[in-house]
Amino acid sequence: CKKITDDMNVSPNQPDVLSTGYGINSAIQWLGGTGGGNATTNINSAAGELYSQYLSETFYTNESRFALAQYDYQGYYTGPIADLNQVIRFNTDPALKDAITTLNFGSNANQIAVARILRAFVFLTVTDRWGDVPYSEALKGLSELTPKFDTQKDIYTALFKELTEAQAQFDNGGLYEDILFQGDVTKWKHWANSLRAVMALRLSKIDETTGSAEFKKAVADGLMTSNQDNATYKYLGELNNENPWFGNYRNRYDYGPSALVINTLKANADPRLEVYADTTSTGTIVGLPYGTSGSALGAFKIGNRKVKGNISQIGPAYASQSSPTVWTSYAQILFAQAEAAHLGWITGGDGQAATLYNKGITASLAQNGITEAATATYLAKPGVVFDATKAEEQIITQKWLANYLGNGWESWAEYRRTGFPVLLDPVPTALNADKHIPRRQQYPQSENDLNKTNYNEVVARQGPDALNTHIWWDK
Amino acid sequence: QNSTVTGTVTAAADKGILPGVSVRVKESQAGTVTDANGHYSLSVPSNATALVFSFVGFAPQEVPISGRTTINVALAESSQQLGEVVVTALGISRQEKSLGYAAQQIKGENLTMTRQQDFNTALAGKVSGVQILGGSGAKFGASTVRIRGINSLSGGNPIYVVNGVVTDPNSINNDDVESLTVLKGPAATALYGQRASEGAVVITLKKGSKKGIGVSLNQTTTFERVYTLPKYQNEYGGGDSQEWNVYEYAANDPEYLKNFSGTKYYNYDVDESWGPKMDGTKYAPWYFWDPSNSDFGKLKSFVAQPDNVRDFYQTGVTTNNNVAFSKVGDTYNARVSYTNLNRTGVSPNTSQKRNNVSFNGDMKITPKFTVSANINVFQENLKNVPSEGYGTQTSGSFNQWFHRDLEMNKLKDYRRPDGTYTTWNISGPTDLTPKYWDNPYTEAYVNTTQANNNRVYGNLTAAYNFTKELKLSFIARGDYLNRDQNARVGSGTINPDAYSESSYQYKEHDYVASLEYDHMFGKDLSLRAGAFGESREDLTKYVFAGTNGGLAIPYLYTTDNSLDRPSATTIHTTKVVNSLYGYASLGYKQFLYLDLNVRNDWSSALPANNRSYLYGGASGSFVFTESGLIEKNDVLTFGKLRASVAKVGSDIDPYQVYQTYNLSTVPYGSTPIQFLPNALPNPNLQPTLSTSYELGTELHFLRGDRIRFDFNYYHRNTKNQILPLPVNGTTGYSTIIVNAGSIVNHGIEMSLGGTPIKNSNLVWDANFNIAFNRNKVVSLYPEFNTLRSTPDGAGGSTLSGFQGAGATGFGFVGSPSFSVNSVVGQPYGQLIGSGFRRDANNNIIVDADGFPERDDNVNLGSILPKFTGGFTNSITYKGVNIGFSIDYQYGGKFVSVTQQNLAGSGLALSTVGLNENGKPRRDDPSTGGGTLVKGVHEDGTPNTTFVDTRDLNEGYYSAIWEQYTYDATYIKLREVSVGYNLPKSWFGRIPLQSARFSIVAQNPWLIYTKAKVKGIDPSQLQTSFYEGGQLPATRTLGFNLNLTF
Repeated sequence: CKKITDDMNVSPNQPDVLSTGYGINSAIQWLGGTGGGNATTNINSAAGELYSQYLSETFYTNESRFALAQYDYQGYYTGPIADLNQVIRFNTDPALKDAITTLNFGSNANQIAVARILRAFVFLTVTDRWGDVPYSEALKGLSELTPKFDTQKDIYTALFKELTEAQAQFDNGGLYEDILFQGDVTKWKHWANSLRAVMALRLSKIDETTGSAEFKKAVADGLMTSNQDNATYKYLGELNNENPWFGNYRNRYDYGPSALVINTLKANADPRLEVYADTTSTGTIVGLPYGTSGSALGAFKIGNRKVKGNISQIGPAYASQSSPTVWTSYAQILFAQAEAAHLGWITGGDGQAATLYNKGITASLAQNGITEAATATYLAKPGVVFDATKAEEQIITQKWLANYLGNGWESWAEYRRTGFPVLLDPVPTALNADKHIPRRQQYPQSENDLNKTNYNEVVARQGPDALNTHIWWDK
Repeated sequence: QNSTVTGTVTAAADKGILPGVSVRVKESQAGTVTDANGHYSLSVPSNATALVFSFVGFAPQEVPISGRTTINVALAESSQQLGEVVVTALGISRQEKSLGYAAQQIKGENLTMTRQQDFNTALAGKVSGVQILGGSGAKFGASTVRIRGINSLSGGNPIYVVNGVVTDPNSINNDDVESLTVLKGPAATALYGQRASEGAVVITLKKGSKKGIGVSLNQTTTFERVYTLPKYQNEYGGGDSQEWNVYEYAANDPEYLKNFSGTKYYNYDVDESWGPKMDGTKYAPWYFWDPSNSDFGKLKSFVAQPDNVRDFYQTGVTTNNNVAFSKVGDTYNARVSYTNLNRTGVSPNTSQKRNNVSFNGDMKITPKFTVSANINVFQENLKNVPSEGYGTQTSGSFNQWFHRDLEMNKLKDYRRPDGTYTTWNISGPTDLTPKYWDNPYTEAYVNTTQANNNRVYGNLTAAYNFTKELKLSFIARGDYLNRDQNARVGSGTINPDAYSESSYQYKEHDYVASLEYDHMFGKDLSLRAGAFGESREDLTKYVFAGTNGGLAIPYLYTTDNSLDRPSATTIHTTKVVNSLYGYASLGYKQFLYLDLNVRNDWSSALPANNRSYLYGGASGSFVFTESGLIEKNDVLTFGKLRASVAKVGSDIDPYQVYQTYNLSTVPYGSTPIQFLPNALPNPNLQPTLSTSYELGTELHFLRGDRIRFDFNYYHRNTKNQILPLPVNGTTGYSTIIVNAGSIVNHGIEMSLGGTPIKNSNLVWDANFNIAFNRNKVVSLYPEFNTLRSTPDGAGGSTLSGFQGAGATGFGFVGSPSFSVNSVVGQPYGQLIGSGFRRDANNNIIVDADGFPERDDNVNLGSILPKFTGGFTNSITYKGVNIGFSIDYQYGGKFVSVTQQNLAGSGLALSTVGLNENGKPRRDDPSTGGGTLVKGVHEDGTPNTTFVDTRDLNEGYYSAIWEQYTYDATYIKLREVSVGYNLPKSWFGRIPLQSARFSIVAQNPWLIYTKAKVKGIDPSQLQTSFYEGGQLPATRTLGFNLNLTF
């Protein structure tokens, strides 16, 4: 008879300790998405890009017509956030923090700071999509199986604190094997502060006092200073880590640039036009009107890479296998500062706003490889020149253009906050009740099934669990 | 010196002649059967002493020859099967009357009646309380069975014990089965320990049965065809508009298209059938645009192809050949059997080849020392086992995304001369690349899979009888499986080309030492007892290698020809269970019996503190007709009461106790990725224990057992199950391994059988059974009232490829889904999904535009049936035997994703025809077309607004699962066989004992379904609660020839 020993039940197939740097990278890779599929949880998810009307759907138009309502956020919690919490635990627990599998990746403080920044970025995405979500009671495993929903206000407060502390936490202990900023802690710091600025601005309609105070603090701690600071997720030239638009363009071609993007670019002879979109079979650049559906779609053919159709595909710079995606860009942060200046949150007024606005456009064009000469020409176009009376519309519209196929959730959030750019809203062919662009997404089924009491409570507090319910900062 | 004996055999009761009676010379192989007039003639050696006459339903009779040349015999009907022996747990043979629990035995010949290859399906309808969860016969695999409802929140399957070895039902050769016993409850299975918590099927293989040499040959050939497909519409073709497109040559178009301006075509890239009316219009089919096609540039009439899907499937042919030799002597017994199976499926290019060799024998080395062995070698090659489910390229496409106008024979040319592949789903006239779908024939011939299974299992036993009463045995058992698989995605098909190979090894070693004692105390009290020590080790090893991102060099299918870094995986597992157990059976005067058993297991998969667990049971039987309490009589010829109580334990697979941080199979380039798994392990797990009791009676009426009745009540409570508790992902985990819940099953099993007619010409034996199981989820985990569950098992042995991952629900991203749930206070398996919004009078509520409104989270009913059962019959008339079996199920719900897709993509019949206005349903509502949803507005006024049929099906109904939820009630004629014992005279001097020819049919007739949805056979669903893109159900017809020498 074979003796049973305790180690017999220890898996020989998986490690029992976390190599912390690989846990951080797990979170980063998860947010970029793997396998060429466009998961609904990617930072550049199709839903966010569709809501922002960067793209139109070429045939199966359910998502762009808002037929999909329930989106699942559980993956954010079980995936990147759970991994980042373990990174923090392994860097904090006295029994684990000095292990070689931890210290190989840099100092404890640096790893904790990075994990906190990423975690805050994920929670910001989650709360901006769904509104009130589990935060303070989340991620406690067996000890809290029914986490309550925290108000978005409380979550914002907590995230300001997290990001402020994290950016101050870096030391000189190094950071290694970092696939987002290659171990440059200054860039992490700039990103953290830039996210604070983004969050602060989000409060412009609901709590200007907090918004303006947090914005000033973020500026003081140091925002992004160049395109080198962009939080850029680099897809790789391999199927498992490829750009999702490239994956979609293997054969499906579900998406093409919207007529709105193309026409907005054309209106000012924007040099980004040829970068954002590819040419049709006749050499023109044509967008697909958003919300086109049913038999009306028969007139629009996107073709494929080899045989072009009569509407444009996404440009190769954005849809090649290793085309990067920018989660937060220097241009975006310049536009945020321009708006803050316009609002009087930072000094300089509209004069400073104009300067920052021009810098933002310049940064975006540079990011897209546009020459300085072409940039100067563009900046001089009457439709581009800053006009203080239309400051918000201009700044947000340019920010929207700059963020093309980047963080779609961000552009959608800014549309909800400001009403800009002027999108097609309502969408006449929409399948949701009021045909308007959603103001949030519905909770996953699991909340109703497994967390009923808290679910009922949040619905009572926030409003019906529906696409047209406005979240806290969206008033 | 031989002499000839002749005579006539009659029935003692009515003096009628008996044809087909076996007449044998005692202790010899010589024998014959009586002819249609009951006559026989037999050459008898001079040293023969007696003849043995035997016939089904009659008591065998041994008649001394005593020099006579004419021997006429009258056979008496056999009395109640008091002496019937049943094989129970651990292979212990017991008199049926002594059992204190329900155990139903089936003889091998009933299993092989219609030559059903799948062991489990062959059980359908034959055992009360056993529900067959089918699946299409086109899959080659074994179906699963469910015994007495669902006892576990995470599903579970019974074990299959072949001569003591627990193995897979796929590797049981029906031709070698002597008998099987289905042990249903813990009282019956406790001795098998934790693996048998969901029941056990105990199989005894054939041995050499009579002295001398025996040879039998069996040949079966069956033909399999698709018998049910959905109701397709045949009015509108592919595309998304009833308007034709007109091709106009454009400057950049290929030169060869320049004469085709003005040609009508539809949008081939749309994989739906909302296109133009199939009214004979001259149009360009997909191949019109393909210069390599023989019909390039030829217009065709746009007409329906009603049989296009059926045309894809072919007639599958199965041949099964079995030859068995046996020899029995005074000190040995041996049987060797060889079976060869060759099968082609209904899907093109699919096949199964199987060879079985089985040896079963024993040897008395000395009068006290016996050595025996059973070895089964099983070798199988599977080619392209068809896959099914949403989005699979054949069955998935035909019923989900397809064009009703496609000609299947035009798709058969799947490869162009230049090596590229054709498809119906081309991107457009100038672009022949596939949009979403490959040609189904490309799928069949290019994207291929192969699997080879080699399995050896068996046992070696050495037994020493110290005395007649005391026996010591050592048993070594082993089960060794090697499975290798490879799969390719062809270069040039729609998906990146790929190749992968995997190999899986499973080894089980099991050693048992036992001491058994059998003693009579005086005349009345018998004792049989055994003590066992067992050590079992299960080892698995899995190796996988596969390409990533495509093949570097097209058409070279090797794992190292990977464009990106190839993937490689190895998984090893070890589990050890040590056990001590024993039983004692007491019998008093042939009418009172008591059984006790106890078992303790030590499992390596459980935490150290909870590794050891003890359980057991007691059962009793009281044969009151033998007790003297009632007079012996001819009305109630046999009566017995039985009762049992038992506890059985179960544990888990290894490595669920300690936390790991898993290495991702998808690294970021050369950077490893490590993550926290979504399942939280639990260092405090305890074994699951379930308690059951059972009461029953067995009654036989009228002389000769004309009526047999069996009634059984059981109650079982399973507590503290180890289950992956699906938790809200916001906890950081998707599942948490816990001990949780309490689930109660109780039910009634009844069987009524008998021989209503039994005379010299006609014997009719019938057996009807019915089982009611009621299930209730008493509690789940604290704070949990609902739990998503996996009725088809938690995925179990996915590595071996036999069992898919257990699903808890189905849904498309972002759309309402449906799921299977355990809800406290309700039966297991509540389907919860989206339904129609209804008013107080249950009317469907529609919105202002006339579209139905939707409520999410509607309870659509339980998947568990109210009752199940079967009706088996055997009729023998003058040498002709007719057997058939019917099985049925009442209640239980399922969802058809196929129907949802059929309607949504315009393939279903329900999307065409005329509406209430007498106008085509597919016409625009503004011109009188459209569909009217029967319902009311919120204010109660009836709906009068016709809506666009496509929008309704594609945009609204598709999100309301209630629309596609059906009742699984069915009655099915599962098997029929008609056999005839060929007269011996046909074979002249060939030393044949018997020759039997039969015609067999499986699934001949789905008599009734409540759902009345054509194309869905509820007895063969893909899973236990839904189907989607399921393979079609098949029907088999064939013949069988059995020769015994």
